[in-house]
Amino acid sequence: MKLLIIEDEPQLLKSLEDFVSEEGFVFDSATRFQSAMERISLYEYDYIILDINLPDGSGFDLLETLFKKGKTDGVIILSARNSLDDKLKGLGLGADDYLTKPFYFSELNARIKAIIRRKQFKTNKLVRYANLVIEPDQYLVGIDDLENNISFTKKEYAILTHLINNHKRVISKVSLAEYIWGDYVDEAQSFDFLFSQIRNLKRKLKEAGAQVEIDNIYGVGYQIKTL
Amino acid sequence: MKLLTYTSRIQILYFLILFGIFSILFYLVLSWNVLQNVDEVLYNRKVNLLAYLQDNPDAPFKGDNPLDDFTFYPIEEAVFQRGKESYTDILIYEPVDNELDEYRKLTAFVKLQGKHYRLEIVKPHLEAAEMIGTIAITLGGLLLGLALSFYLSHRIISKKIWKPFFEMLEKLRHFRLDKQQLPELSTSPIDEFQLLNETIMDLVLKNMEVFESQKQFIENASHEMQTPLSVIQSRLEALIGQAELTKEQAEILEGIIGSTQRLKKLNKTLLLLSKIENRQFLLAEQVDVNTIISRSLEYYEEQKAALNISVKTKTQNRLVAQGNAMLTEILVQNLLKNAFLHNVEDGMLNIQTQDNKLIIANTGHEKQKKGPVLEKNKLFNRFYKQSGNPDTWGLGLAIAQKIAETNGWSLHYREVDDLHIFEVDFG
Repeated sequence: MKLLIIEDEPQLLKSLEDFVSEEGFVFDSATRFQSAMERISLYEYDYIILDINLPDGSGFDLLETLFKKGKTDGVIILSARNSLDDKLKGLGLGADDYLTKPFYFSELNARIKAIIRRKQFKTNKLVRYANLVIEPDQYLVGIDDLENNISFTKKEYAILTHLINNHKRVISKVSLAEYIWGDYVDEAQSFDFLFSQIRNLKRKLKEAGAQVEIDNIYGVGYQIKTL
Repeated sequence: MKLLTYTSRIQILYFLILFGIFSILFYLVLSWNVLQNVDEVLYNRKVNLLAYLQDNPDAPFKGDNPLDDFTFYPIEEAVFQRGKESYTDILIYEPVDNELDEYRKLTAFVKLQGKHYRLEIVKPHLEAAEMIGTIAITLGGLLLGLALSFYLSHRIISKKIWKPFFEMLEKLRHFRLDKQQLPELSTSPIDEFQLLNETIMDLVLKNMEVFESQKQFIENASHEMQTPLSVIQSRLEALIGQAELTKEQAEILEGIIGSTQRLKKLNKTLLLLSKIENRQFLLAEQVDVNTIISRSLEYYEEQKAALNISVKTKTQNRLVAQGNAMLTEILVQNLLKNAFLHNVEDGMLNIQTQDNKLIIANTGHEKQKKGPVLEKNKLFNRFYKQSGNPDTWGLGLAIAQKIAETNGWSLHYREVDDLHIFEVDFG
């Protein structure tokens, strides 16, 4: 799977590159509109992370070129402009997802994983991690198979899948809390709630005999690991 | 008091005072004039009478003759020497109409055919009471007519003249800087109003310009901040994944992450506010409020459990508001957040929808005798917060208010029996 990152801010580009290489993607990167145009005309990419505001052009023009070729499948737009018009325009041109800066890499990862799942065949849809099997469409989690699924609450399920999607990195508790509660709950409170959610999650996983462990990194973040 | 009423009143008052002064002056001038006339007539009569008696010495003049108006009284020479001609007012009983009438009497001392006489000539005088009456009636009528026609014409003219002014006022009253709509001021033939119109238009345009650039500034600044924030955030996330992190480093990182998050949220909120103000949202969507409420409530399960808050929801089958779905969600979310955040242990939260209305009532901290009192008029102001909670900015209700306003709804707050009630009218 090949990925193209189009981002003009060097620091952010570096972070994105670190992130995708960590996730095991083969990638190219472009910092300017022109070079990005060249790349998409020369090569085929499975996924494109596209920044809309480029110094020498608009990402929308790139998207339009891709649209004419019928290759907008797998494009994730990154934009500093959280306007509905932009969002509709981007998605209207066939982009798969739209993320507003600043975003969490865990969130970007979740979106990419969702697109991958969507692209894959139905038989391949199950997510496996350690001895856990997850069926994303029905929100089911089982050990080894889905026969005896573990009953999780909606939020526990969301936390677990988010941790598994991002098992290669530590997810800060801030980003995890935001992923679960969004802007609905105040941060300070959501940390307490997150703590108790994870405690329940750990207990249920242990009781079911899952071979995973959720590490707490000095209270800053969480990471799921296989035992 | 209206300008028109005020000027009319002052004019009427001046009119009355002037009328009083002029009436008195008129009376004085008139009575002096009459007196002069009567005296002149008396004098002429005396001169004519004496001349006639000089020419006709046989004419009988002595004795009181009721057919004439004069009487000669014989007097001593000494009296004649001392006597001086004088005019006096006298009252004479008139049996015909049974009253005392005013007369003017000339007393002269004359010498006829070698004898001395005191001559008295009497002429009826215009009566003061009658004069005053006549003056009062005629002048009063005149004044009343004048005042009335003056007042009416003044009103009509003023109304016509001030019409563009009041129109302008009305338009300015409805003018909102954030509505991006110039008030259309009608032109006036009066120079001063035209000048005022132009000045106001100038002022409005300048203000709109400033407001626009201010908004643009906030939006641009927020946008520009997003990229560096993304970098900071992504770098921090990368940092916490590093295995050799010590506890101390983790604590420092946690502080930085928390602050970055706060900055990010503040930035996002300000951006949202400026976007609402710039009307960058489609407002013609059909929004199912009940669905939003039930979906939003899911996020508060933990808070509900933590404080043991009893949540009661009483919803109508369907409450569809016309507006923007995303903004409506933020509005509901901010109101719920507020209701949970300021709630108390074992408190309650009542959510009710009815006839285009959403009512959210919650218990809250009891009013402290000392300490800050909830200032209702500031409740929806930006950055107003009563609690000392450093994690809030006091922007939630400001945003809720702004959303309601933008969608053409109204959001009210009231306090009933220790319940804090927020009511959204989707009318």
